Amino acid sequence: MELADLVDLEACLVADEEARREGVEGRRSLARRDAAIGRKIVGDHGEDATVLRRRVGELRAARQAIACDWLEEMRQTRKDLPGRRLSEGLDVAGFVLTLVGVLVGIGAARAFLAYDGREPVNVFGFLALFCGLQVLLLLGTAWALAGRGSRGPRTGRLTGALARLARMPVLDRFVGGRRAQLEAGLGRALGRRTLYRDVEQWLLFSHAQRFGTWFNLAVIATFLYLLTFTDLAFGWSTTFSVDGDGFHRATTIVSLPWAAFASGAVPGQDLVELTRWARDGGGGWVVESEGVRPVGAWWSFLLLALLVWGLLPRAVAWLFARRKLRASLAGSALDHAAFERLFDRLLGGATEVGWATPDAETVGRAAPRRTPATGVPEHRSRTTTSVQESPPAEPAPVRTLPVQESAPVDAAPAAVAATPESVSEVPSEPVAPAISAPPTGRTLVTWGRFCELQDAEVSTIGRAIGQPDPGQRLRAGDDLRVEEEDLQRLSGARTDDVQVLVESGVQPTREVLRYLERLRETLPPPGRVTVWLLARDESGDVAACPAHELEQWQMRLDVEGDLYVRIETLGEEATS
Amino acid sequence: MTESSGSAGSGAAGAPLFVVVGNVNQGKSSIVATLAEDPTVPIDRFPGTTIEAGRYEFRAGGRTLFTLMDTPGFQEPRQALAWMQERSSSAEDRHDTVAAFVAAHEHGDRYADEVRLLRPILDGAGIIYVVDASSRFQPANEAEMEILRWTGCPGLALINRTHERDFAYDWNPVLNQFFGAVIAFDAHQATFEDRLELLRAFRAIRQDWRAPMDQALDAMGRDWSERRQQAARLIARQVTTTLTHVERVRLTDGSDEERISQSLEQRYREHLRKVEVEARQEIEGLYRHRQLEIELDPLDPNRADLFSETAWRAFGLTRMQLAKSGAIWGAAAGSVIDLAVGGLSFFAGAAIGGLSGGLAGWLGGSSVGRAWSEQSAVARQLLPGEHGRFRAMGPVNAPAFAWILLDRAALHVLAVSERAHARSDRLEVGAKDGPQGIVTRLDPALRKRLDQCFRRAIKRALDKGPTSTPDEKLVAAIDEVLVVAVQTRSDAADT
Repeated sequence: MELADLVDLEACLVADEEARREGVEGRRSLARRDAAIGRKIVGDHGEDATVLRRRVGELRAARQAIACDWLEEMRQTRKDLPGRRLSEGLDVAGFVLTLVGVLVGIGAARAFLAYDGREPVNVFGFLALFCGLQVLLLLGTAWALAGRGSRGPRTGRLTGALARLARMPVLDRFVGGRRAQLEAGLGRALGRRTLYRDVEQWLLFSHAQRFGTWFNLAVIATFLYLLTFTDLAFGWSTTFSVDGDGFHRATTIVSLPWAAFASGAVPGQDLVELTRWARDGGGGWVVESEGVRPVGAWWSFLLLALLVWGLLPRAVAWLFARRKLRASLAGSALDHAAFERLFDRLLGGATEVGWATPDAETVGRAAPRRTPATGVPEHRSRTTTSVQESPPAEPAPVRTLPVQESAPVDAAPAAVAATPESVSEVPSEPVAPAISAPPTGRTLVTWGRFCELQDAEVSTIGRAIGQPDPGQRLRAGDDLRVEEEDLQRLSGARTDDVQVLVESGVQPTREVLRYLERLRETLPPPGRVTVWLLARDESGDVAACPAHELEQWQMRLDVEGDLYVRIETLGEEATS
Repeated sequence: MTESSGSAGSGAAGAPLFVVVGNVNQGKSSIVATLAEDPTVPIDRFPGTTIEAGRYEFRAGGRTLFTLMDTPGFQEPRQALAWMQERSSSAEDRHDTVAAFVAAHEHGDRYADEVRLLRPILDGAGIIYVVDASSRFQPANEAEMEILRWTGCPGLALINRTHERDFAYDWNPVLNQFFGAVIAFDAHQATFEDRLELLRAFRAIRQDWRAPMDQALDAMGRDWSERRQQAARLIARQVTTTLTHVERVRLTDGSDEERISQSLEQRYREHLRKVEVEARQEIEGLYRHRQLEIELDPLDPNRADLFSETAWRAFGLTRMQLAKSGAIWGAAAGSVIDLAVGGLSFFAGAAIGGLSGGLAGWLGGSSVGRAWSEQSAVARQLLPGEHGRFRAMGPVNAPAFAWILLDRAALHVLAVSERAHARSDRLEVGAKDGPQGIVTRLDPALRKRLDQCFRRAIKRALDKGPTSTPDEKLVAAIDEVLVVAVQTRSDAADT
């Protein structure tokens, strides 16, 4: 996967999320578009949509393949996607950095190596500037990179400052009544920044090392030029009380990497002693030792020092950063809520709606549920409206999806996997509640007043939301002690399929968001959670929540920048 | 009402302070905006819009009579209550425990909103606990009410009924356990009377607050009457300006007279529209609304253009009423001729004038003002200093138009005065399906007085030129029209 692909995918998904916010029509339009693309993708891969959906839920490579197929189709109609432009912009930025690195390198080298015949070039300063400082900068950058975690909510001073800025009441004067939208937009951007922080940091690091590499090349080239075409003299001097022995030890340590094969480039004690300069009484400079002054003998040491301590670390770091950047792009999980919605629209939810349970073994045994003769995926997702179209006239070459992740997947144990039938089919008979059963891959959390529901009622709601087997049940939003105990219980369950039932009217307050955050932290990464906002009438029937509530929750979660919490309600026809 | 940023706690100079609290997104700010008549209160349908507590003082006679405080909602009431329960051993120390909670979290991020809303309550403010009737009672609400009970401060509960979905019936028994009074209130539909009703309920929160609240209610009533009288004056000025306006265009050699005539009529109408818009804006300002949006819709009489056929059909007097009025206008004009000939016509002028006026009123017509050329004696009288070639239009000669103006203006005042300040949607003037106008339902005597005022205004324009200074009799008559309009609307609502 290329950077341009990732950027375009996210740009498309952001646009799609905006369309969803426009209401029922927007969602229907997305559903129609992606159902058509989904049929093509299913035809291309020659596999059942259910199998594809399940595999997409389990394997990163499958997600990337399907997402790229989708993007390819999107690019046919959307010519305004920013990925290619961004990629080209980064190339230009890289070229500019190269140019600047060369110019700065030449300038720095010429400035430092300016020898007018009176004062020799100070080896001490040369080493400090072109080797010591660079190594320190590199180590500092590496330390900063190593100090950043790979998971968790958005962090960092910049993001924190921006978030605080967005919460300032004074902002109302400038943005009018659009502060909430601004906060949500900022949250979405910061959420994605957090999600792709590896890509971002390796991209920046790579560019920085590119600059450094070309800087060092320019310094070396200038050094060689000045050595060849001018008469340079080297000496060493420092205000600090460093004697010849001490400086010799330092140069010996610096020379260690090449001492074995280029002993001539290791300064000896004599050279060090003979080339020490000091201030004289009249304001000039005198060499401290009498005799011949080997002022040009330092060059080989300095050249190798530049190569080994300047150029080499930068070049290695550059190559390393490029490799890490590629790995970060290839490792993009494409598994946050917007991607899951996309896969549901494309392939129909293998688990109706909600998150798929990682279980490669189940996939291997799954008997493919036959799609209609056209090969069209049967869209049973409650959030989509499918339009049946004719299959492609010409059979396209069959592409294959990986059936196993190349890297080990943090899969749930086989024992917790739901059977294919229970996952893909809604049973006609009520499912026996699994309240007292040992932890399974599924978890259903009832929030607030929903905690009062009987298990049978929860099962009924579970079927309504496409979860005929709700798995273990947790309670939250009522008794704090029970909430805590249930969370502890969940921490040992290794589940990645959590549905939270929230009654319409409950606001996304900090206590709800804090609970969701804790819930996610308890789950194995990435810790995906689906919140179902459901209205319930006197007879106990559940229905869709009002559309504005859905939007409120989505905006509030956007502000938090958490892309892994999905907000859903029943059906497309959310009442307004 | 003014907004200030005083310290938390009791109101200015010991005046009652009411703190509006509740869960987030329950409509607290809407209630404050409606009661304080302040459309600048930050209201959004997204939760957590209120970040800082805002104080809104009601002042009269140079002093603050009471203060309303909008607060951010409870964010973690269950956790806050748990903190307090851990540290309280009996009912005796609960108030102190709440105070300890506020002190402990004064400078922290967590519970920042709870601290903001509890601090003034601990200082002795009255509690107005707001719940949204469209959502059910939740455990978090119970924790909120329990915390408020622990403060030991008096308060009442307000069920905000702004949505179709309504669980007010379920809320009542719960709220009654915690509060002495439970009141249903629709912050989006509340009229002035509804607001007074609610504020009367605030009196019961504390015995010693009755006197200042009574003063506040009296002051509000007086202020409301004054506003209606000012609105009547503004309408009278608009009607007078419109009826007496004369628009003129100079002609040069080679001017296309037909095009000039069209342009004249266009400019004339444009000016009258502008006068109406300006009057409306002044009235909206009088009732403390920011510029309200009324989108023009040719099919909806309430949003149709002043000169549209829809508006002419919907507003003003009926045909019969216009015919009667026309007959009076015509007879009066004919009488002038009778008088001029010393009664030799045996009142034939009045008879013919009345007949033709009545006929004109019955048949109607969409022409508002008549066009004059510089050769006309009327034009020379209207514009005495004007020389050279010109065309003029005005004053209004269609009797129906004066009534349409009045009808539209009165309905607008009614809509603006009854509009809650929490609303941000478009202004709805009048009822789309019901009878549109007010003037048809006026007492004939009042109608006659208005008719005389209109005639006088036009006659004065013919004699002395255009004016914007209304006749005091017209102001008084329009004030009566507004009183009738409010009463009619109130009766209709009761029915």
